[in-house]
Amino acid sequence: MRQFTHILWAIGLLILSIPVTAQNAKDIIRKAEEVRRGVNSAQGEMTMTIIRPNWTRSMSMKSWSSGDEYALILVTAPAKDKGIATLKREKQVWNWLPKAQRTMKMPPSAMSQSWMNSDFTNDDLVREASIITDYDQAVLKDSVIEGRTCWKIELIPHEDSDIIWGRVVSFIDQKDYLTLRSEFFDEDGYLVNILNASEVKVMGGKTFATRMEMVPVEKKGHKTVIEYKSLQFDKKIPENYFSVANLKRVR
Amino acid sequence: MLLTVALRNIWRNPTRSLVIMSAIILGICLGIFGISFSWGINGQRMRNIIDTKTSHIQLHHPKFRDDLKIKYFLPDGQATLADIQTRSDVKAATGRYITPGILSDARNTFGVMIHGVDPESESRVTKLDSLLAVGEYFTGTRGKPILIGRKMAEKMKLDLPEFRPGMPLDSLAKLGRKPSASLRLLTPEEESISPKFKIVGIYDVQSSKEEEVNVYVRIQDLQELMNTPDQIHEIALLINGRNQLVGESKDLTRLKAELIEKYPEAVVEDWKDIAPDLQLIAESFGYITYIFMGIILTALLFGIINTMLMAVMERKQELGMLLSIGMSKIRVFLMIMWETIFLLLIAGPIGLFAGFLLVKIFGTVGIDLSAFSEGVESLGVSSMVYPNLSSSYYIQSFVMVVVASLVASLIPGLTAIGLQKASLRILLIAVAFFIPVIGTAFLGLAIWTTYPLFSNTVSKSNNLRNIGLMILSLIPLVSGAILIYYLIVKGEYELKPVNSIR
Amino acid sequence: MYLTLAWRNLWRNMSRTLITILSVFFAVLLANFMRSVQEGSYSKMVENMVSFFTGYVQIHDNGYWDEQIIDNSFEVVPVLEQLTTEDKEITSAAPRLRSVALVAHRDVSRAAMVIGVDPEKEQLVTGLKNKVVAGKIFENGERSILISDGLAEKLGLGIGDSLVLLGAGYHGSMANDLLPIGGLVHFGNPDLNKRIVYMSIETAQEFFGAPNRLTDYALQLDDADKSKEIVKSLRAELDTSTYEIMDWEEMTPELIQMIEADRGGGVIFMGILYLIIGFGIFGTLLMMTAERKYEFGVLVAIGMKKWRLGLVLFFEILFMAALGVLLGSLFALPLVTYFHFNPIEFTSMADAYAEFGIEPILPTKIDPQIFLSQGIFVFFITIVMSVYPLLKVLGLNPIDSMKA
Repeated sequence: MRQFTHILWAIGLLILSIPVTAQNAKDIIRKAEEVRRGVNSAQGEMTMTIIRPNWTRSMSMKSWSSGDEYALILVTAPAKDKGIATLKREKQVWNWLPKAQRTMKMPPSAMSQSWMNSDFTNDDLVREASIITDYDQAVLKDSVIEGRTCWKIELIPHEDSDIIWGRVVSFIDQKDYLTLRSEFFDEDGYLVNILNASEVKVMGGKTFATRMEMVPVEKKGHKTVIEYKSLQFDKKIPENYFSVANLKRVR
Repeated sequence: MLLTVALRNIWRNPTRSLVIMSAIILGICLGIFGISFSWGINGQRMRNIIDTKTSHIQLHHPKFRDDLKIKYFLPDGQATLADIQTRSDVKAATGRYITPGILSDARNTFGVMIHGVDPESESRVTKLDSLLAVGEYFTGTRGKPILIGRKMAEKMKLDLPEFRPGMPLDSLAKLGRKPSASLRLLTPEEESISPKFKIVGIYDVQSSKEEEVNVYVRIQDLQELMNTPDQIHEIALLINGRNQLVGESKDLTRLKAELIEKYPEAVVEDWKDIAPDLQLIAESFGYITYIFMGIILTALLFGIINTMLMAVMERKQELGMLLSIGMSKIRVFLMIMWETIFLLLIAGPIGLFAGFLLVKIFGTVGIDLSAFSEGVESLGVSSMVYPNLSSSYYIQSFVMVVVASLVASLIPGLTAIGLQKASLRILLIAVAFFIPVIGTAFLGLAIWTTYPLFSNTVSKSNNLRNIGLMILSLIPLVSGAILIYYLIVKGEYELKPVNSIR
Repeated sequence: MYLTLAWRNLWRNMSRTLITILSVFFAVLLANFMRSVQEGSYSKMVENMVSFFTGYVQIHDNGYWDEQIIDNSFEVVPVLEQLTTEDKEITSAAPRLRSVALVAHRDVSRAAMVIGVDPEKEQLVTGLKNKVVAGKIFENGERSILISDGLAEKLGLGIGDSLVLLGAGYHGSMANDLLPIGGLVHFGNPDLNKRIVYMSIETAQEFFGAPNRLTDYALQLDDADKSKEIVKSLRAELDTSTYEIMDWEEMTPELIQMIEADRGGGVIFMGILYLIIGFGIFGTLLMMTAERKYEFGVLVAIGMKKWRLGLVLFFEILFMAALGVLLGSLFALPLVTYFHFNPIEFTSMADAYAEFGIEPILPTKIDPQIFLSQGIFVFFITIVMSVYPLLKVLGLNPIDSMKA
């Protein structure tokens, strides 16, 4: 559950078609990273749907982000959770609790806990591992996802890296360099998580996957879906927008 | 002359002598074993706490135990440790780096307490190396090794077949691949890091609670990751001393006082300060154990008394004969007492030696309680009990049984002079005394002796002595009461030696 | 015929009979007492642990025990509330809604166990009010809360301050609130003392967004030994696909293990006691045989068959054993009863126990099972020991035995 941080955070992310020819795995990954990081700042609206065997819960949210470092998410619906906000600053996370009228900094022990009860953890918000330096990459055979031809790339973490996955298989779209699917395997080779990106659209002038789906494979009937309703890119958001003080004010 | 007769009597009826002697031998032997077992089981409870959890003494920063913040390093930790390790009254000492963290693998996360230990000195203090059920002790990987508990391994679903300590570790192969675990730590600068460790071994302390929480890494790995070289949070030490088994001795008190004086900036605590709840549990069990001892000793006394009573019954014809040929009652009484003393002199040492052997054998081999009960593996309780007794208690149990036998022979001795019809009467009187006097006295004794048990835990060693003293103090009480009763009823009957011979 | 003879023999030499009976008597008395102390100490331990939190029996939503989250809660239905009135064995029942939440004050935050309770009912099961060390407990529906003093210290909070809480609510909602601290509770276990928050069940239901729901329903019983039965009857009564019903043994297996571990030592103590008892009885029987050697010799010499004599002797021992066992049990009963109602106190440790909320007493257990088993066992020992006199009689040489 580490590498899809970017997907969640660089909201939307992924961009522009950079035409390419035959490539090696490292280059592909690097390009995909560039595409992802190409976004400077973004703001938009999305819904998050948590699916459980017995119930489903949908939340509407507004989000602001700046690079990989800063992000702010505000819950706008349902009424019960309205006003709850999450701020990410570098490696730390704060929550605004409207009912308590207080901010709460997530203690390190809570970072591994679920974020807003979804299948994402607080960690997923803050962690980043470099796919370039921490893994060995290899291109496997091409596959087609959502009608798009993808490179299927196997990432195997270095022995001395801090990655605990056995391997990660990424499917990167050959046209837009969008990561459409990531599969996370444990060291015994069992599939643990799948992160799907789909519904590639042009929004706010950029091409990206507007729907993301986190599936913990071993938990039956569990899933979290994030869908972007609107997005604007490169509208400069000042750094102090992502402050604890602003967390209380944001609407 | 009386002595010779008494001696001859012993030889004349070997069956009787043997029965009485074996009652005494068994009494001393089982008494010693019982006491040594209760010592062993109590010692084992405390030892389990000391050996695997607290050690004898620990040193910390004054705020550390309360708040576990990484910044509360032991002042001058490394120097203090080096100092302590060279002391002659310290058997072993080790330094630890302790911080809470989060351990995670591909699926799960667990809150853990991370112990950075020095593998070599740690093994001498807590025998951590011997607790490994599977794997290797901080070796076998180029990366950073970590040891996790068996319960944690189960929760992580590390593919391990059911294993028990002592079982052949075929499952070791399973650890050949050395699974990874990531530890999230907070550096002193409050920065979060998540280094990866390799699980090289799984320890088993028979306590799922601890196995779930405690993980062990090398201290230098932690110091490096935290960028705090040479800093430690905790020093744990074992004292050098004969009485370290029970974990409370003058040595411990003295060493603690010296350390407090020498390292005023650190908090010096002994195992009772560190684990008051565990001590409480151990002591409650200990308390009950002493009640058991009281009951067992009571049973022992009654066993001997009954055997002796029967022995006199058997001799009534012979004694009646002696009386009828003109031997005075007092001489008959003395003769019986002498016989008892001779028997004691022969049986006592044998019993002592047998008890000594029994304790030595079981003290070496140990008694595996798991053979008697299924649920022993829990709570950090090792299932092995090693009976143990210091030499002074041999003397005490010997004295106890000797006194018990003398008391026991008093009654038959007195009964003997009464004999026949009178014997029944005396017996009834004796019985009348058995229940109220001896019975309550002994039950009272069993309870009373355990009372001062915990008022001053340091003096626990005095309690078995108290039992001995109590029994000693019972002699005048019991024999006195019986004599008085005997004298009161004495005038009411006439001894008819002829009846006895009939 | 043999029975009559044996019976007469008993009366012929009262002293001898009395001594033998006495040895059995004390054996039974002491064995009963020891076992009652043993079992009593375990019962007390269970009571201490159980009244600490779990109660003897709990009802949960099926699956709650394995995954203790607020989603695995159940709705309060009348059938559950009627349990205490319908079932005489269940003395009280405490509804609870609990889950883990983050609690914070300023920049310090910690994970804590948030427990919603009905103060009156909780009192009957775990005596919550006795744990209050400062301030006062909330009433039903009140928003004020109790937190453990260790937690208050960590967060730098006191009575009158407010606590920020954040947790996972029912069905994915975000539970958050600011609640006033009305009082402090204290737990002896330092670890636990750092992370407990009590609030009224209504407040908890609102906080977690789980109206009219509970995570556990703790039942207090009259008699701990009935918990298995109660569980069985509840399982028959309630829908087990909706509810899981567990007794304390399932919920605190460590306690059972602890008791089992101690039983190992107890078995050895009983073993030592039986050895001593056995030998005491053996010694008595052996001396009796020696005493009656002459008598036996005469009987065999005048033509009584040895096996008949043996049979008479066997019946005698049987009678004496039975009498001893009966008397022993009879005397043990008041003894055990006395120590049940006037338990041995660990007075000198009272403070230490109070710190952990445990009563420092050790009542014996009155259990017919113990009396029955000990009686039978000592009787059995006596019968086994009677083999010696029987063998002696069967191998009797009348001439030798009649020599003085």
